[in-house]
Amino acid sequence: MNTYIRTLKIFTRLLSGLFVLSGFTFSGPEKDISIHVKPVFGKQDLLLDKKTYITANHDTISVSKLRFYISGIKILFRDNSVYTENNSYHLIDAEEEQSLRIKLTQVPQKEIAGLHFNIGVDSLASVSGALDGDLDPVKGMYWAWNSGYINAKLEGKDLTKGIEENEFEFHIGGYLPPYQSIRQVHLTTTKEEITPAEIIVIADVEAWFSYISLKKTNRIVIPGAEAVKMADDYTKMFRLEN
Amino acid sequence: MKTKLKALCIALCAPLLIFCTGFFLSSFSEEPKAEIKFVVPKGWPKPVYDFSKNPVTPEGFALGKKLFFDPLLSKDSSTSCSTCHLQFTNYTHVDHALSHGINGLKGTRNTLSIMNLAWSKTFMWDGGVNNLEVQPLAPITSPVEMDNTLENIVLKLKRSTSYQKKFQKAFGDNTEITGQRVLKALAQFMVSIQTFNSKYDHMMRKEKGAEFTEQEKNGLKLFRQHCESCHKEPLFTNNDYEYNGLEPDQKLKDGGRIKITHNKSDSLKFKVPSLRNIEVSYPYMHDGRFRNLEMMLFHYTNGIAKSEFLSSKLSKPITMDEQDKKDLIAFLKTLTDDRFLHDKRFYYSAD
Repeated sequence: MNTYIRTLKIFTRLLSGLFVLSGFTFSGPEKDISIHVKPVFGKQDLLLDKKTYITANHDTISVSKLRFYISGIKILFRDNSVYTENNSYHLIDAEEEQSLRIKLTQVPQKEIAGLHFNIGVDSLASVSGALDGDLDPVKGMYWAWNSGYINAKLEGKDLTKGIEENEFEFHIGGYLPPYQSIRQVHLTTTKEEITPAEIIVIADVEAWFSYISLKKTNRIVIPGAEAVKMADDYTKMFRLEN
Repeated sequence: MKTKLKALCIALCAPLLIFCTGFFLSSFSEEPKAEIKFVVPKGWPKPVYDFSKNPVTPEGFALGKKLFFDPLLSKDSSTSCSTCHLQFTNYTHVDHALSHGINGLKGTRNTLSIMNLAWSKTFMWDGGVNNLEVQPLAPITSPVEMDNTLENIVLKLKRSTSYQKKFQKAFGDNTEITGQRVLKALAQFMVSIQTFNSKYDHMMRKEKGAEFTEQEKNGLKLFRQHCESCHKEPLFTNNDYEYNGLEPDQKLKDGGRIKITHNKSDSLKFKVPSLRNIEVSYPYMHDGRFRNLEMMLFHYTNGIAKSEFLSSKLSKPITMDEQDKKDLIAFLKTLTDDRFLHDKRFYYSAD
């Protein structure tokens, strides 16, 4: 009798175990993961102020500020399903270590195909008055005299000899047509891999600078055609780390 | 017989009138703490401002008012919003063509009035600001106005226990002071600055005793003939931008709206300001070039510059004789709302 009960118990445990397992296979397990944005200059980590870099267009520079908004994050899976982060607005600031890690909750553990996000803030948020969190105008990423968010900021010094006005300043924004500067970035992965605990996104300032020649332009601080062009260009600085 | 009846009438009515006036006056003099309630006057359009995300509360209003009067908002704690926006003069910097701010520095434009802003789609002379809540950022960060940052203001406010309490009262317990809340409180105060009780309003609402003189009546007729297309009733603005033929100032070189849109057709265009309380908000125009209403009218009849950008509404010359001009000015003065200009709820209070 006792052995009979014991066998029954083991059997039910096995059954429930199987049930749980099958449950996992149907909906997929979910985990909290993070997107880690890594600012670099070429092959090296980006060092603010301290380091001198030479750009593709032969400018000698140091970088003092790199900030941009990542919004509308989506993770794409190979089964064509999509994870969409709600209320997705993140200010990335090369100077603020904790801003470089974006926590995403309950992300399905499945084979991932890629990552989508916007650089910048959408027009709805741009006309919605005073917002909070990373969108709080206190963050210095909101224009005062011409409303709207600055989608990306890059500042530093042109260290080429003989230049007195040696600061460069790019504040890229604008949400009104025809000068919208929010941009989509689509990054696809070639690896076959289940959602990792950390997705590393490289932001390569050297790649951004390959489109800049400081001798021609060292300042864009208003919405307009120049800002639109630069927004197109800097989308190319992002890639997934393999 | 008739005179007797008249006398009887007066005898009966006069005490009633005195009683009513007394009641009316006392109701104002004793209400510094009266309730703040946003009103959509009868016949007015729907407000543009989204109250659902920032409902006006007595505590939010009080906090916004305190911030509005506080020079802490400027870099060196010298200049407050109320430095240039004074209630008695329709919340503008009266008698200053170009307003000045921190360190006595001068700006490039005439201070705009703050009133009935819930109906404004855009703010500033060039319409560069798209929401009332973010409007204060412009004067706060302007190097010739307050020369400050919102970040610095939040830091300063956090050091004040009195402000901490006020933010908690306005936005709930355990509230932290944030940039958003500073702006929301200011918006609650600004959106409450409403003027709709001028003689003109009493007339339009057909209130007892409200009557225009013949001169004012003729002025209204002229207004509707010559001015109404831009200064649309009841707000006395069409909320749009127009070039009204002012000869561009060679020193200021202000292109107006084009600065925001980069669109050539917006050259020299500026916001059409409301004319409410115009009597007390001199000087006039975006650069304050006209000291009085007579000079302003002279511009429209004799001074309009020829330009491809001139508003089509001004393509036909305006002709008015001197009497007409006087009548029109008499009408414009019926837009003065004394109750608004002296509403004690908006006075500075130290607490």
